[in-house]
Amino acid sequence: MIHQTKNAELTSEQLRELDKFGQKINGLGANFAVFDRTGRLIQLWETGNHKSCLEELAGYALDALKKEPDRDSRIQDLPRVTRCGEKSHIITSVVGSNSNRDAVVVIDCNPEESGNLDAPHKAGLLNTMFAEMLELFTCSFIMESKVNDQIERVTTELTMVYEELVLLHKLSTNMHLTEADGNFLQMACDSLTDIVSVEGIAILLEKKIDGQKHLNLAAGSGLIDIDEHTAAVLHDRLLEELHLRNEALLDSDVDTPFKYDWPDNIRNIIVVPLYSKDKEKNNNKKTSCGNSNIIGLLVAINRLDKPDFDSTDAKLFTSVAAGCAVFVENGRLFKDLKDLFIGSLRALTNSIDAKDQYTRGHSERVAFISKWIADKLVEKGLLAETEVTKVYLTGLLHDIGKMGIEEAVLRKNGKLTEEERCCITTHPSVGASILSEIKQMREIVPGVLCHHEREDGKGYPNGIKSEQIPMVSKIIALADSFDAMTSKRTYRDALSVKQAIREIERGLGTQFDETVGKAFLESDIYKLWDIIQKGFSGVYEDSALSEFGTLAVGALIR
Amino acid sequence: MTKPKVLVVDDEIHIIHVVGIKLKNNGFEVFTAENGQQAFEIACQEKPDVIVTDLQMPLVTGLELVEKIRNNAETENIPVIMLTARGFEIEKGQEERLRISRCLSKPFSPKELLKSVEDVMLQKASAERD
Repeated sequence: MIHQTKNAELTSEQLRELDKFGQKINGLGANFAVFDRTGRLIQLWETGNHKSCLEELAGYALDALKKEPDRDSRIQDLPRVTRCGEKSHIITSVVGSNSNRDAVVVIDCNPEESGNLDAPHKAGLLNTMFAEMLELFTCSFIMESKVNDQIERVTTELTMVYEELVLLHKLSTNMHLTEADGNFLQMACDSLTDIVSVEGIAILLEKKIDGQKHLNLAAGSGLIDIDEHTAAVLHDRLLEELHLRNEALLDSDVDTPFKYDWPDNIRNIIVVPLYSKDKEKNNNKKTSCGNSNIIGLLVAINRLDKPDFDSTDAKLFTSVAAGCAVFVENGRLFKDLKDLFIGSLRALTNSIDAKDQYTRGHSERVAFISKWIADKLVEKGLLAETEVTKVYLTGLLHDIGKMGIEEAVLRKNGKLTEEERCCITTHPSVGASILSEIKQMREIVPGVLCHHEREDGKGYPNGIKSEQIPMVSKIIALADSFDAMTSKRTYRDALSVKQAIREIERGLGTQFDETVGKAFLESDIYKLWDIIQKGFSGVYEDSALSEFGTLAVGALIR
Repeated sequence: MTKPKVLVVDDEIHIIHVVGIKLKNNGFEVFTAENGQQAFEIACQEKPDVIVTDLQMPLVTGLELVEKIRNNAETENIPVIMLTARGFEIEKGQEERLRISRCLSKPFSPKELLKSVEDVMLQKASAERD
């Protein structure tokens, strides 16, 4: 018969083993019981031949526990089996691999049989055998428990490693250049706080303001307060650590007192650098005084689920920081390249415009006005946002075909001859053919080609009508005309904004597309005019990444 | 209150351990199997509340296992969560036909797996109430 009470400490596998053994013992004629470390019965296996006195057995069990030597000093082969009871018919043994899971198993041999005067040897032998069996069982039981414990510990660590893997994987798959850097860095912080339970995490990036380098908070999670001053302190202390060949700044007062002086709320802190890719150069010299290499830092304070940060944490933070650094650097390089590109285009088109003093700055203005109109159309849902850059570039390049036209013609004061007019009207196609040589410019070509076409088909070079004209061209055409009207030309004075507006209204449907025209007319044209007058360089900004020296040219040349 | 049962199936033993320990520490009784055949037998015997299985296994794949489970009256309604190797997708059609509740690609976050299992249990509970 088996009696069982609720047990929270032994695992189901262990109970199964005990059950097997218990049944075996029963089969050999003795009772078997298991008690927990408080002396409470866990399970009892009775043969039915004799009743066990549970109190007595419990007493012996507790005795056995008391005799158990200190866990750490116990040698493996010490016999754990004790015989007790008036006829030495009770055999106890302590099983379990750590003090939480200690249990006592008790074999209760039939006292009558034990004391059978007719067969004293037999009884003694049986009991001795029971003792031997119990010893063997105890050894293997404990061994198995130890092994399972180890597996459990290893698995718990492995689980942590899995989480880290997933984090790193997440970071690397999300490193798209189109991702706003704030989002990516914030994601890094949030994911990190998730895995490494800390009070607060922050990423600081270096920014050049008026020639001075400042560390600014770029992203953060949890409770962390870093002002300008603290940031500078962190930076300097990190440099010190790096100089000492340490990978990171790790400080706590858990095992040893603090190395540096920190505010009271900080129990432990880890600071990891974000390196720019020029790190390799300096490392060769082994003087990691990489002042110029650090573009930011990752800070974490107060580990929550463990008493302190350890080396695995440092490694994880370093990996994440490296990923963030690559991302930020790439973003900046990309922006730099973009600026270089646009800047070069501007220089080129400005030089073409400058051939005629009245058209100086024309292309830049047309580009700006076109972007203005494009933005209004996007607001109205009539144009995709991705088209806006295209519009801007087309605006810059629309008159590039004028390169082929003689200055004399461009600057002529009086009316143009038939021949001269033909020359001028080739500039859209000349421009288009120049641009179609460049693979990356092919998208711009249609816009440039058709920027002198009209809704009513009376434009040039092809005289196409309304739906046949690409949207980009319609926008450029309007912007081009507006700028032309409001500029002084060789053949007339500038019109006022008011007059220009009226001309445009008159041209809707014939010269200009109605939708585009309406969008322009509905906008604050005087504000636009104002901006143009004041000069608008630098208004065309895209990402929030700040420049950090011009690395672009260097990258190209390398 | 009896603990909910979960059956974890994977030919990679480290996955079994990681998933097992996460679920065990969060109130589940865990049964494990290293191949599809063993898994099916345990499923029939123990009738777990959820099955978490790997997709790529030798002899009996995860899909074949689910097929077997769905074709067996005793086990046909047990929700299944599938673990797949990254880049290895199950076609939508299969997923719906076999009524696979969730697919997680490896390496998966153990926390996320726990959440998936708990979500599936909740869904099951509310479905049973209705």
